[in-house]
Amino acid sequence: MSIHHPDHVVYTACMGTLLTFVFFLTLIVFAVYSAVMLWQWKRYSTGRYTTVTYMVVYLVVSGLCILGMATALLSFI
Amino acid sequence: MIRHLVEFLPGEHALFVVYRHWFKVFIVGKIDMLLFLALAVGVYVLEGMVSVSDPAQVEALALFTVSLGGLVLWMHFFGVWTDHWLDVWVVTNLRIIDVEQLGFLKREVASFPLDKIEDVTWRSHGIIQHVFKFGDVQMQTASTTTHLNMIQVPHPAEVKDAVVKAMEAHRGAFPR
Repeated sequence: MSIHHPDHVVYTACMGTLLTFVFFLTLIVFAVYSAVMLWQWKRYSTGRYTTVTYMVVYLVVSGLCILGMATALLSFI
Repeated sequence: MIRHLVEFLPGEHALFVVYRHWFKVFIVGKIDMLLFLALAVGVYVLEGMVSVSDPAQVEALALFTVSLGGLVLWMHFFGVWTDHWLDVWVVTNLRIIDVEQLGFLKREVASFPLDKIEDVTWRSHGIIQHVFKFGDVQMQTASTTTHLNMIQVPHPAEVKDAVVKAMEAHRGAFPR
């Protein structure tokens, strides 16, 4: 059985709240930014397949970063 | 794509389109990559220095920081890339259209009639521009205050020649 010091519990709760706030703020900024950017790519693209490829690469890497943040966040909740 | 960027006049058609050279995007990409590596190494070093009762939470915090930094840098790179891609000069049989993307939702479009352009020059400044074959093409118009600058375009000498040819063709088609 592991017993945590009260300071540790408070630290975990505060850090969890802070990271949750940062996570959702990042999600909102990312969603708005990406929506505008992808709309511009779609509207002004020269090649359909090239644009789709760029979109997929952009979204996959971004998704991995968000997944990393979400996984880390679970340790504090 | 061009029809979304500019509206052509009756009887107007595009002769060629000039985009910016890729060098700036390449440099921004490299800087973003170096910043990400610096962040990852910095977080890794700090993680090893911190001594706490729950190492799993330190690891989680490190993962969160690196992921957040990576996402911000990734978004920044694609923002710069989008800005680069949407800065364009369209040379038509009647005019040169300068489309400049300023941020995400602001775009300036200016057009310069070919018959108003008086002088076209190009310059390639510095060793980097010579090696990677890019530079600026400057056009003076009849107005003393208005100039058209194509900044950091690939093969500026060829662009200048093509613009001069377009001007000559225009003068042949519409003599004064």
